[in-house]
Amino acid sequence: MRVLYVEDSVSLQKTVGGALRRSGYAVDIAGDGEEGARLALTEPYDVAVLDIMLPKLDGISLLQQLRANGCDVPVLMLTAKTAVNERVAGLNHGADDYLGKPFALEELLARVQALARRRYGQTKSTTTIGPVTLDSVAKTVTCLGQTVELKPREYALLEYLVFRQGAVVPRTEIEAHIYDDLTDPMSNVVNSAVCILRRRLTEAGAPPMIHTRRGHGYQVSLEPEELCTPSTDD
Amino acid sequence: MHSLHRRLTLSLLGVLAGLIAVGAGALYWGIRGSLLAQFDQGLRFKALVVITGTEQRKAKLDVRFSDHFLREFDDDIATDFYHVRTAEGKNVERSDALNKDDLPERFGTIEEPEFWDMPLPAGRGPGRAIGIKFRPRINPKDEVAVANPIETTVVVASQRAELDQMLQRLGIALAIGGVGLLVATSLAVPLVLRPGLRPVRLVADLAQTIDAATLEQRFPTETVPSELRPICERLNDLLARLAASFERERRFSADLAHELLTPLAEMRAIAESALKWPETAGPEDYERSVEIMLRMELLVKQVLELARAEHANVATQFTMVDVPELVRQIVRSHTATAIERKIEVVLAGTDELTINTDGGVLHVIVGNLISNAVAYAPEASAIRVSWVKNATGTEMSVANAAPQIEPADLPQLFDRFWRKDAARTESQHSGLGLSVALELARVIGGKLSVEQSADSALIFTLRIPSSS
Repeated sequence: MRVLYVEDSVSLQKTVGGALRRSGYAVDIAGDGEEGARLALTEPYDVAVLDIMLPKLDGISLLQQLRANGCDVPVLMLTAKTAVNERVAGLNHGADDYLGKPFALEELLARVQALARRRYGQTKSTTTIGPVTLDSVAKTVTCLGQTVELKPREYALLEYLVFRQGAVVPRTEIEAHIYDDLTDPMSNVVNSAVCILRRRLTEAGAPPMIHTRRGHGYQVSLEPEELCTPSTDD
Repeated sequence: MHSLHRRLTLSLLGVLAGLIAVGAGALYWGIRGSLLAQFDQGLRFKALVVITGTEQRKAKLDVRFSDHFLREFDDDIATDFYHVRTAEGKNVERSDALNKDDLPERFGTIEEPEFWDMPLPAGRGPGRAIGIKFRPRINPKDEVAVANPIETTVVVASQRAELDQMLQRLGIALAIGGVGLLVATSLAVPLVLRPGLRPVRLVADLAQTIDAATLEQRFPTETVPSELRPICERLNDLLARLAASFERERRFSADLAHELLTPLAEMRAIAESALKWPETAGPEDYERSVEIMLRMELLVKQVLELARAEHANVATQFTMVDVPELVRQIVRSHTATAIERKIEVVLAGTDELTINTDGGVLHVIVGNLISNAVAYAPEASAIRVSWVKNATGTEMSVANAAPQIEPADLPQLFDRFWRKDAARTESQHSGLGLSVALELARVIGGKLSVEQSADSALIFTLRIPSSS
């Protein structure tokens, strides 16, 4: 899941951005409204977290600009303004959720998670596919009652593929949603991550469920398919 | 209770009672006069009947009138009496009912008879009488009589009980009518006054509904009577000023909350993140926390300064202050930032200038101006701090390039928490420095103003009159 965080406080950029990354999100940070609009309109974000008071372009105008350009990314508004009309204005202009400053970090993470889940039509916090269960709140995966140890980035990859269950997800899409600007685009991260994920799931006793569609990408499905061939995918 | 309604009712009723009394009195006297005139006309008629019946033959008077001719004179009814005498008082003829009593001897002429009130003889109650002196009829052929006419008088008295009774009834009717009118009016007056006083009550009711939350309410000025209009207009002015000052305070509180909530959010995020991922927490978090706390400390200090300055609660201590030294001190404390931002600070002023003022307050004012200039002037630009003593007092100016400030921004520069960009910046400025400086300038009797030169440089000038 890839998150855009538009915030002018350097301190919050560091703390909240770091917290989101540690929770397994790919995070891009913009320090002002114009930069935020540029990023949101060019990159495929799953959630955008916008501060209202921003230099150059305030959060509400930024939101209006996104919606006017057909960008439907779920938006969580953050603001220290406590007036009800501020909140109503944000929601009326197409924000999906609202959080007042100061906020609990856990609450912010939970709301971002809920928005990301809803983007893929998931209303529950757990998703099951065969013997494998994903808990998107605890960020854990269990297979036949046993916890599968995954790094945040690996979890994020599995979650994204499971959310897109049945669909063939191109490698570029995975890169765009799981990895942020900090990741080297020329690297082979997706291939190696998929391989590691398959190994972990197999070790836990799960049937093969991540299939390679040559020339197209990856697909999560319980139907048996060709085996993993890590070096010659797509 | 002192009430318009009551006062108006009482005075209206008082005036009406007086008018009714005068009106009823006039009516009574008018009717009484005409009834009396009518009564006197009757008396005169009766006297003329007696006169007509009186004839002089030779030297003798012959009265051909008898009690039986008119029923009122008759013995059994006897409400009227007559008495005919010669002018010398010699009895000629009188009613039988008089029983030899005399009627008073008073008289006028036929044209102007005399009338008077008198008690009737033999206890027959009050009466009214007419007295006429006349010459009786004479046969022209009667030479004796023609030669010696006898001056004769007639007095006719008549019972006036009926007239008195009528007048009494009239008096009672008028009194009852007057009182009734007064009672009816006292019932009608409130009905008339209530709608008349409705605008007053409406204004009073409206005034009662106004409180801190409904200051946008206004009193009607078009629909109220002209007497109330000036009151309503003044109240509206007052409400507008009150609402503006409430709005200013409300905005200040909201801004202050916002300014405090942001650093709180930053600190809370740092702490919660360190708790959730202890392995990632390090000295950098503490450094950032300290920075945030210093910002909050500055903000709180300036809010307190502002509150004290606004309520003229600053105890000033006037001493002779060395202005160039004070400026140099302040500039020294900003050297680090100035060097970092490549800003040159130019001092322009006489080497010696001392003024009698509060050194601490002046330090805060000039310090805030210089601190702002150092923080907001474009990088690698110059700041000019100047001071001069002239005829009216001392002028100190801080000027710096400010291409981002537009002429429309000038009036807002001194507003609390105003910043060119609405978003909070990471600078060490709370947005209160200029407000504090403005208020403190007043405290030392000076005046702080700002203008923008043609090349968009911002010039803050503090004028301190010599007398202060």
